[in-house]
Amino acid sequence: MEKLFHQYIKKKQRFVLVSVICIFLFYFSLPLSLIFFPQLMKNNKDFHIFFAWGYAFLQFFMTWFIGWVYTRKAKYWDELLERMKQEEKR
Amino acid sequence: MNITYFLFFICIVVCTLIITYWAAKKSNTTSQFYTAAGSLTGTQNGLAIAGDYISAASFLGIIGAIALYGYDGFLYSIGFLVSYLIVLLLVAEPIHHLGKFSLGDVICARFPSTKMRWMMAVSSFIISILYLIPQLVAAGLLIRLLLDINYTASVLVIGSLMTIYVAFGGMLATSWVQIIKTIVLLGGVFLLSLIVFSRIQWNISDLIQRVEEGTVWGEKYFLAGQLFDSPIEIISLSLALILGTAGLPHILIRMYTVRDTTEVRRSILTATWIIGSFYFMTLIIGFGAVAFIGYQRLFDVDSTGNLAAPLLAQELGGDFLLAFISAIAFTTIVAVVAGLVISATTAFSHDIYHHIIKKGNSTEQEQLKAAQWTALAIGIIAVLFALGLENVNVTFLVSLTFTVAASSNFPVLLFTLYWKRFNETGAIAGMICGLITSLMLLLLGPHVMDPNVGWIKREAFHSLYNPGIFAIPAGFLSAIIGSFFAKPEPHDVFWRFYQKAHTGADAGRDEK
Repeated sequence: MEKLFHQYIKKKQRFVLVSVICIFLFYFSLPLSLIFFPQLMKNNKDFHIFFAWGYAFLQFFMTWFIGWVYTRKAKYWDELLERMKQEEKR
Repeated sequence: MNITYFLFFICIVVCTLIITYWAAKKSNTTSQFYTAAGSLTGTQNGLAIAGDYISAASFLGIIGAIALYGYDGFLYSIGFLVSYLIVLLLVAEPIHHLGKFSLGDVICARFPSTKMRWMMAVSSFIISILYLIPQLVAAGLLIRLLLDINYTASVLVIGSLMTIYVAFGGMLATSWVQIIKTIVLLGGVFLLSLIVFSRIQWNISDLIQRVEEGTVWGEKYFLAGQLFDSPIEIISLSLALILGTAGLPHILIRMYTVRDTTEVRRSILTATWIIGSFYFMTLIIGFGAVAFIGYQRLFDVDSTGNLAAPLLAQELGGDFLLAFISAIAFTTIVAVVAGLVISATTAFSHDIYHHIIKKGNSTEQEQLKAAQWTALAIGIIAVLFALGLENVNVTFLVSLTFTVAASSNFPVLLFTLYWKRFNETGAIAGMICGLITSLMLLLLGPHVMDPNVGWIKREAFHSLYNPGIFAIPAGFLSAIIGSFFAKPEPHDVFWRFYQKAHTGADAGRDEK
């Protein structure tokens, strides 16, 4: 049973680790782009609004999206964990 | 003070006192007092988290920063919001699984010693108080400006209310005050945003044009660089904002107020939707303020821009709307300070009184009494400090609390939950070093040391207004180095803790 718990935690942690790395990359690329690519961030010809604003708004949607995906995943993990606990009882 | 202001003000005070009376009848156990016995739903807790989090600095400060400096002001909102993903993914569920009332419970589930309990209590206490006192000072100044009551009376009223909510109603009253505050606040900013849009006939191009005319920056208003001119300052602030929330005790103890991890996740997801929507609306209000009032008038009335929202309300809806927005600002402040008082109270009465002084042997009634007296004492101390600091600029401490939390609590919490090699020596080293480094950088920085306006009239030792870029790595590094000076725990001890932290399956080492 302990092996199953191990696998369960490993699976969950892998998802969390990948998500956290993505969040950090996406989040810090905004201030870094403002510093290193100011011309790109000032571009408003291709997107109708300044790229800096578009990217800032995307951070909001990224937060809601990852929060939603994690909640869905976690629901599945909870069910998996519950099944494992039931099997252990038997 | 005119009669409209007075009626709104009385209405809020009466409503919140009724809630406190109702909660007081229920708060007769420690579990009720500290965590509302986990009785909140995820949605209610999400509203309460938003209420706990959106301070006067967020409501008035960010609108002001956007109105005066455009894009740079909005960077704060992004950091505040994204930080909730770190809370959700890394710490929220383990905290719910391991702790009972305080953040100290979580760390002591792995390192159960008096030393560790002291460290956690002191750090939670310092962070909560560091956040509480400037909020009270800012509140006193703001209420004086908005309602024309003198500073002492403002601080006394807010201080008394927060103490009454916590001492009598505990977490239940605090939570419901915060829930109502969030609903009223969202309603208020939504209304103000609608009025802004209706004034420009829903034509966004017209709003942008008016903004460009109203600001002194012209088109540059919509680009970065008006508030932060140094790249290192932007990175440092971004780092403190994204990691700070996951170290704030008054937010983290809210994970105990729901019954299970499904509700914990729902709480945070709800909070991100509310906080995100709120920040979208602050953008509209900030633009509206500079479009309808103009940079110069905003700056002349208050150079920090804190009065941008009330001024816009007066411009668009006259005295009535101003009274309504002022009442919202007042509710915002009392809800946040009440959350901070309960967090400081828990650190003292649960960690220090119950666990250290009484060695875990006090009765329910003794604990409850201690908690109520602690809340009263904290209320009095905070009010006395706020009264003494009337003429001292302490509002910068609000944003710097994120740096302190991210460099002390967060590294210790993260390593405790995830790192096998971590041990008590590392935890204590990380906590002390993170706390001292962040406080020292703050004391030696330009906020405190300035030849003209600083507390210390000398040149600052460094020029960073946001020292997180040095303080946060210092906290992490000292925790890592400290860990290598002591032996790691045996594998099975760590595994039992790890299993409990991440699955809730009790391995029998530490009962909640």
